[in-house]
Amino acid sequence: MSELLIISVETLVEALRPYADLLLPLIFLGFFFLSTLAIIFSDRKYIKKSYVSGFLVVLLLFQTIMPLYITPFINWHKFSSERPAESAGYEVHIVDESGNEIQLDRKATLAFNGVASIPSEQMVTNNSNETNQEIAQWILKRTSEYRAEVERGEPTRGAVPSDVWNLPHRLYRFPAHSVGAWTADELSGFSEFIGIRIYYVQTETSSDGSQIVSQSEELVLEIYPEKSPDNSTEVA
Amino acid sequence: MFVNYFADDERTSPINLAIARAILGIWLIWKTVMYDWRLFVEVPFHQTPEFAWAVPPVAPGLILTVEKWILIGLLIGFVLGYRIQFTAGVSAFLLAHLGTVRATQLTSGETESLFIGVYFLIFFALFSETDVLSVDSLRRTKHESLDTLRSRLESGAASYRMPALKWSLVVIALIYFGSGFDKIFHSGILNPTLEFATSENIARITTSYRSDGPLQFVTENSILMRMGGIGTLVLELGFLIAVLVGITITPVIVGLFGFTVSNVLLLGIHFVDVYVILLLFAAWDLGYERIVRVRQIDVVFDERCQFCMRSLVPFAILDINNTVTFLPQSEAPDPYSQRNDVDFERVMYVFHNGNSYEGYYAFRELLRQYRCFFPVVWFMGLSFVEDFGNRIYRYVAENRGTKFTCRVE
Repeated sequence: MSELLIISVETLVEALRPYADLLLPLIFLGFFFLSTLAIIFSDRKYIKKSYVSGFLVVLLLFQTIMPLYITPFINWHKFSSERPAESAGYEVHIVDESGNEIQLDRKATLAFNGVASIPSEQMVTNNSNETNQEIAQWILKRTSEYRAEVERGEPTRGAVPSDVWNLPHRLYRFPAHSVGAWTADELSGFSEFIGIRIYYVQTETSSDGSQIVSQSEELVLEIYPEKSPDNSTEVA
Repeated sequence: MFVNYFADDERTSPINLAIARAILGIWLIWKTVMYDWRLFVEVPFHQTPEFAWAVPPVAPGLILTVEKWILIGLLIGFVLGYRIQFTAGVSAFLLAHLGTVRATQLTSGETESLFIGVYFLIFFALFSETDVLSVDSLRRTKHESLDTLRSRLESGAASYRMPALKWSLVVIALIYFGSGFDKIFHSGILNPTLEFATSENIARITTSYRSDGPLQFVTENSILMRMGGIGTLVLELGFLIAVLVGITITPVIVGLFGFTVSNVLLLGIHFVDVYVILLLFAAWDLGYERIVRVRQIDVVFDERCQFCMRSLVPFAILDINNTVTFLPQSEAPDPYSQRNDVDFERVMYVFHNGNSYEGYYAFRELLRQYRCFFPVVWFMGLSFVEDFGNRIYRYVAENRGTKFTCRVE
């Protein structure tokens, strides 16, 4: 019975997917329309009870059998998939004029207290050199600005736990969602950033999961936007 | 330490609701005020294009920045408890919109927590009439009769319901439940599995996130890893069960704090929002009860003056230990009324240990009773503030019948 319900929900979702552009804003606005009505008429009998009950039922569905993330309904489904012993992913490195490279500090990419992933896989697989150039230019612009702030000792990103001890005054910013960060010392050996390299990284962990037993990096894409208008190099 | 509002949402003081409102508002201001939307919209790609409909098509950086500052303004009003239905309701909408725009790049927990703020704001708006330690509540006293106001000052014990916190607690417990549920039923409702909780899986998650972390060595201990996995499931699923069954939630919340700290040490993920969200359900009133002075003081007020009594209502609400006795001036005992240095017709008085404090100083003494106001008491004691405050008090007292809507009957 439960499986039938899930299958029918999934079937429904798939059937509605082509209309997502219309449905997602409608769900968002519909939720707030109903919420507004409930707040305005909250002094009437049964309004609060009906609204709260309906809301909790919908939220429960989004937590359990609805395979969706539709704002304003969210879930905290984290680390649910089992981690395989062998995994693969992409890593972005920033390259200076001398060819030295440093792994991207993702705090550099967005000007708020958080991290964001670079769409590395799309960059590697898509055929649009123009899009890749645009993304690489943006990464270089952000990392150069961020680097200057780190070197000045005033990165405009969220404090990380180590900042609590080293830079307590920076706690006026909401703490960032990660702990890793570039340091001025680390950056001192680098000249101007001019390009990015994307590596395909394959990792194998031990059978008990406690150690990385092998890791291989393969350079799959290099982009130097300032050198020439068409200089994206697909390495692999 | 933490209150299971689902089991009983009634408290003897409204402090918890007021503090939760302040924490919620300040958290959301602190979180969103630093968002730089102009730089945000420069990002040349969308990680989650499904939400791109929320990005304004024209001048997005400007519009989102203006929206952010409107949100901050509304949240300040919400913290103060000013027109809660409006400030909380509109804040919820703006926050959800900014959160959706943010989700175009980032769907991690820190964006999702914005929507938890949205749900809580809606509950505060929906049950705004229960929030008595607020500007709204003070405004409502304008329509109360002298008898009602007098009775509010004189009656000691009261109870306050907090449905906003009750349903907010159910929501956060439900979200944690969803997290645990998905770990077990990730492969389908008919294929439950505990693979998440195996020692290898927990160790692998840790190793893949932060192989150089300070606690990486614990991954070699399979018993600890297994306990970590089982413990995670127990906490995530047990929170909702504890809430609904009506037992104490303190062990679960302490466990969730520990779980969040272990995420920092083991994975390098610092989810600060969790602390703030869970602190909404702390028993602040128990701490407040210990802070408030135990000395007994008497306040003599003019029971024919609505303005005077309205000013005292918040103090009566804050008096959870019943250490302040509010006495109408017509019923003031002889030792007070026959003193040569008092004139009840002119100002309000506070009496303590044979000493009398009038007007401005009476208010200062009243604030001193509630130790949490110590910065205000200190500020009021500065000579220039004292001088200025005294003049203001005298002006208000002398003109209360004409300029301050004092209804003297």
